[in-house]
Amino acid sequence: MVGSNFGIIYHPSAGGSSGQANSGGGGGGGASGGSSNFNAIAGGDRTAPASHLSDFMLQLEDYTPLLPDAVTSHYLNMGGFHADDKRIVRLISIATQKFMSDIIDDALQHSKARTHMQNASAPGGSKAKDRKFTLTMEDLQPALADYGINVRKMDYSQ
Amino acid sequence: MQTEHWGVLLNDDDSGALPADKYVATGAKKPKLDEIRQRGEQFPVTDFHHTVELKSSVVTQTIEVMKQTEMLQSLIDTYSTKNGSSNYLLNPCQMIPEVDFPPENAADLVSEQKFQKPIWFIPTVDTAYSRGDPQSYPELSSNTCRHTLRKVMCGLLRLAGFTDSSETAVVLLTDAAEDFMRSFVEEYRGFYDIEPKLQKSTMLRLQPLEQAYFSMTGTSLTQVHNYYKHKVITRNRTEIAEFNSVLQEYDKLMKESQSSMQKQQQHQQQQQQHNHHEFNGHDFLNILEMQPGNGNSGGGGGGGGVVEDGNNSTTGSNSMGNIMGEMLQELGGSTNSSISLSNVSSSQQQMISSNALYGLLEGQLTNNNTNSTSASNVPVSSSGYQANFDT
Repeated sequence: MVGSNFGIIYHPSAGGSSGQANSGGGGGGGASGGSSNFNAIAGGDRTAPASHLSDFMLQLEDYTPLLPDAVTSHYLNMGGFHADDKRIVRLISIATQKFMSDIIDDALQHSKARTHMQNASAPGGSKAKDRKFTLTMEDLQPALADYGINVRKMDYSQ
Repeated sequence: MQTEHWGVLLNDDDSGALPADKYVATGAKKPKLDEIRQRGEQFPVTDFHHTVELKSSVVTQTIEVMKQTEMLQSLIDTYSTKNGSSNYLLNPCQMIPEVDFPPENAADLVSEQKFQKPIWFIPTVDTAYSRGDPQSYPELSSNTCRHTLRKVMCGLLRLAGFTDSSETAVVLLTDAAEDFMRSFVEEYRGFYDIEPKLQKSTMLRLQPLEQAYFSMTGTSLTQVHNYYKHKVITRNRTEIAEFNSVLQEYDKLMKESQSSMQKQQQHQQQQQQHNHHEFNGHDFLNILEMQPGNGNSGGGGGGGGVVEDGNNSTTGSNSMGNIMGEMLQELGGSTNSSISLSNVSSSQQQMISSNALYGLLEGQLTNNNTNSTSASNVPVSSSGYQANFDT
């Protein structure tokens, strides 16, 4: 992420309370072992990252997510939560939107690369078509795989 | 604040068995249900039909502006050709259509200062939102949520830059989003479960949420701010800026097209006027043709004076035609031939006519002294005249 204001990412190798600035995008690599790095937050210490997050949560009113809060509250209710705190509901909405947007951006890069390869191999590719991108399973499948979602065709159809 | 929910198990020691007078045997329920069915009464079904609208005005505006930009760009591509960095009209005779977009489409919806400063420099305003006052949301069915998620995915696809998508890909993305939500909430619940104090809590807390998000994605929730700032707000502003530049380019081409059309209309009007003038010119020449008849009484000296005063070759040729007419009259020819000769305005045609007549007059010119005297009065024209004869 370029020019980030926060950029504080917890790493498994880092200490519990010390955050480390990182400009890299989020991947699915750190899906396990994350709970041990939140000693500071879970322990109730108001460290800098936790206070940043609290401050951020207070100002989420201007962050209007595309995903409606009512939908997020539905899934929270299904998980046994009473979704009445709109700040946290909104935070989950934007977090979900970010996750899906990252996948779609990756799929777009795959699509661009594929289109570029096709235009390079075919002589006289039109420039107008360069601006149009169609999402296909061919592009989406590797993008989802990068985020830990593996797509398989059903048996006997491969 | 602990709230009570339907279905919460009580910790009292009372058994859940109903008293004997309220107990209904399972076998006795069937006739009652059959009776209800025969009466045609519908079982109560909870109606979850809610229309969920996507209220992200920034994203909606970005997508609309992107559509407008594409439309303008395709119009520019249709009506112009690109030469270097500028567009030029492909066909100046073709009128570019006027496009009118409401100015609200490209309005700045986000205040400038909001996302420029780091978040901790912005003072928190005490509102109902910042206080975290509880808010209830409408209860939605799973189908409605899924349908909304699908709509959201389509919006995100368009925002990212996709113009089209296969049906299967959208379904798969919707599945992925739903799966992420379920997994996220499950993970969130998991961090409640490992804390003895939170095991029975249903309140939303921030710290387990951060832990769950990190365990799911490997990043902090604070990255959400960066996403919103760069991928939503900056994208919005970039698209609006691009739209404005394309609109300016289109306006430039449209003005160019309008001016070229006006020029063409003016040119057509001028051409019509020119045709009218040509007609008047013939009349004018006819008037001039009358002068040799009038000038015959005045002698050749008047014609010579005209040639001396002006260097106009047309006048000279007219005088030459007069001379030829006089010669033909002297030879016994008709006056009509001289008129037709003087009607020729082109010097080349004069040359041809003069050359044709020269053969007839060759012998007569040497014998006619008066004509040679009048010819000597016009030295400039006669030299040209002679030169034409030589060729």
